[in-house]
Amino acid sequence: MEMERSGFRKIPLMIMPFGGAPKHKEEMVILENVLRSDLKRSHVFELIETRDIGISADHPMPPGSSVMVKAAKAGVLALVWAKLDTQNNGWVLESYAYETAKGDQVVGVKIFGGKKKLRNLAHRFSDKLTLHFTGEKGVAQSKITYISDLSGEKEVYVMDYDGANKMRFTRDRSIAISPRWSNDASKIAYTSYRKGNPDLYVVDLKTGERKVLASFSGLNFSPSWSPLGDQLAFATTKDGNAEIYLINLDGTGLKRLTFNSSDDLSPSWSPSGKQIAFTSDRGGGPQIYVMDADGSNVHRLTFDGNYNTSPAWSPKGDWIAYACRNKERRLKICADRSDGSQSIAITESGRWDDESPSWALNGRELIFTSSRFGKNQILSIHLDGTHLRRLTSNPANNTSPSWSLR
Amino acid sequence: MFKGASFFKTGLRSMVVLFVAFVFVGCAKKVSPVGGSEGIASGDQSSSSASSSQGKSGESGLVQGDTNKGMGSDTQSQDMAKGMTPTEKAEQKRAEKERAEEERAAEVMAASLPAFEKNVYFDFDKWTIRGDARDMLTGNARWLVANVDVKVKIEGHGDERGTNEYNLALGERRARSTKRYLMNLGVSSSRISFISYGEEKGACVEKTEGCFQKNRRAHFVVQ
Repeated sequence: MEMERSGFRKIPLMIMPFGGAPKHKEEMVILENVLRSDLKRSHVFELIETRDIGISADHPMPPGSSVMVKAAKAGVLALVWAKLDTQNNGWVLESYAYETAKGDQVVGVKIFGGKKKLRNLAHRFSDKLTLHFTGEKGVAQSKITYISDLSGEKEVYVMDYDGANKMRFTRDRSIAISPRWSNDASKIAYTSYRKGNPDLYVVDLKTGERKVLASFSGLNFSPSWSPLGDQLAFATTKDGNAEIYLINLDGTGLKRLTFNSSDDLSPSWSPSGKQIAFTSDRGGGPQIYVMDADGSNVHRLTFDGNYNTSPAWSPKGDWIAYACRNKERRLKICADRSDGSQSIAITESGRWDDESPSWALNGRELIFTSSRFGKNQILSIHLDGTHLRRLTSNPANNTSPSWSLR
Repeated sequence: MFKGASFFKTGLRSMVVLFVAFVFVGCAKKVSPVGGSEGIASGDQSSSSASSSQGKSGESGLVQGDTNKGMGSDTQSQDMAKGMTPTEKAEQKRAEKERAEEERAAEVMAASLPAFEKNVYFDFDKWTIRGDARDMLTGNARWLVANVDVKVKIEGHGDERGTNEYNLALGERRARSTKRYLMNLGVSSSRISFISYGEEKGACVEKTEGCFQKNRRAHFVVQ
């Protein structure tokens, strides 16, 4: 039941066994597997295995003309091969792609990386292939920030988009909430009770500098970065109930956008920067609304169900995903066309809750929190509801994921 | 149940000293070595052995320097807790005696007052004060009017259903409506502070209606 645009066909691609010194065999297998997983997840490539078309995988070397012809006959469009070596205390991956029809080499690049960044070599190769064959930026090097209570306290964590390399980012020993990547992935905004009051912080990943952006008495929460990264929309209860404000990254230019006695919160910018989706209970229960970035032209987006919250505007602009409560009173992930013309349920019904959607740069995949395994875990899913994938499985609660756009 | 105002003046002060010392010692034990992300990765299927070794140093630039600062101050406080001077010991004894006397006095006074309720509960997605909470809050208001030196903080909480951010706003609504109720019964606004924890600090974690109800609460902390 895969929903594909008519005429769209995945690109049949085959990974040839990687070459390199025998002592690097283990690393070569890891690289092949990471690349295979990346390409499958991209939804752009259809992977064909050498054994399925009777090509020997015993002698890793650049594919010769006989292999090319055999692969072309079996319908394989592209062959991918790489050779791993070491150089200056690091890795170097000579990476190639060939089109079988003419036997042309279409990608040839040396990818360098530190000894501890092996998986990253495969991610970069994958993104090169995606860019070459689709003209679109890949997401294999993207990262996910989220909250985990693994240490006993709710701290901000960061992991690769496939769940590898999990690491704790904050050591506040307090409660951290809603970490959000800036669009260039150089900063993370989040709320922490580290000084008692729930204040809004921004941390620069390069310098390590942390600064308080909003510390009004009451809640300062649910940040969303403007596409240019110079401004954040967030909610604060300083006026007696939650209202949405804009603030410049340097702390100046505080500007109130919503004015009513209901709660307005969880803003999410459109990729154009012209509009903001948000949650409001001005109509009774919480629903998703859209306004212009100056607070004008407010209109309601969602009408199904009596509880719809935490909107996430797709980086492609076409969809707004959110947590929707169904008839069984369970939260699921839904999405509406941003013009309101279509509404779909993405996650299946069942006796658990799904919430906190966040999009991949390509606008085809989302990550979210789910309680289907008992504790909350982070999962990814294709917009059409297929390709469900679990990204965290430790015994802690892992929640509120934010997917970087680079 | 809280017994009286004077108890909080001196009793709490010495308790706070002990508590602070205890917390710091506790923290010192909990500090994990820098680069503790290794243990995190190993629990996950998706991270192979190769990936966990990457975790140690691959992105270590992300971790902030304030880890080290925290460890430094922990060590200091530990030393302070151990080495109590004779004067301090005498001071502690005197405070304990004083506290016992005041507790007796407070008991006499408390006999005529209603119990101070620590929690009032709410319906799902609601912040209106329920019938059962009205009696409790009326009692708390009487208690607060009788104990004029006491300040309270109201924590607003929610159950785990619903989304985290919406529940933060909901928790604050619960705290605010509880405060308003007490103010209408004559408690001065300046004596009541509040904070919302949403669903971030549950009293229990079970996925049952019993636990959900326990978490949909306004919780009083006497200060």
